Amino acid sequence: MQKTKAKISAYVMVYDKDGMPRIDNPLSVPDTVWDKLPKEHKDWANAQCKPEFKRLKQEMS
Amino acid sequence: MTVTHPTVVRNSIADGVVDQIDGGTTNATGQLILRTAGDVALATLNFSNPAFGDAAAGVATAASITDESSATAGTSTKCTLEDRDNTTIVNGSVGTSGEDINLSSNVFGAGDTVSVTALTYTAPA
Repeated sequence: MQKTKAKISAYVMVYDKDGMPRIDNPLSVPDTVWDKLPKEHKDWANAQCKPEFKRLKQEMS
Repeated sequence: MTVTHPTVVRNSIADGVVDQIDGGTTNATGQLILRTAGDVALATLNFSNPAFGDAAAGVATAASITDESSATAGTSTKCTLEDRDNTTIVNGSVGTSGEDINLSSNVFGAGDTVSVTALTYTAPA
């Protein structure tokens, strides 16, 4: 039977000196974090990442 | 049979671990430090004091954690949770997915801001 070990868990956002997010893979950002990002940051992340990592979920109006 | 613990015991285990982060006298608070594979500190984020609230369902949740406002350039693959005397209480892995602490990017530029959203410690079952 699998043992459940102690664990820690956190998600960390990293921003460059201009205040723009460093997001290697928008698809890996938890929904709870992504949904709170300004549209400008979401657009920036999608523009900077590899094509296969673009997060193309429709935004709420 | 796998060893397990009742919830009240798991809460005690979780509290026993995270309360150690409040120990010591050198610094005002304990710290979360994001490090390179060679243990160089790239970003230091200060816990509140006390660092965590009381555990529930075997999970202790950190109180607010102060951002690192000027990180050192480098790639983080490890982290340490340390007490106020800089003694390591917890070691963990760092990456962009599937690790103990996941980052939007684990490659920092000089002067980057590093901000934690919700850190938890879960006691063993």
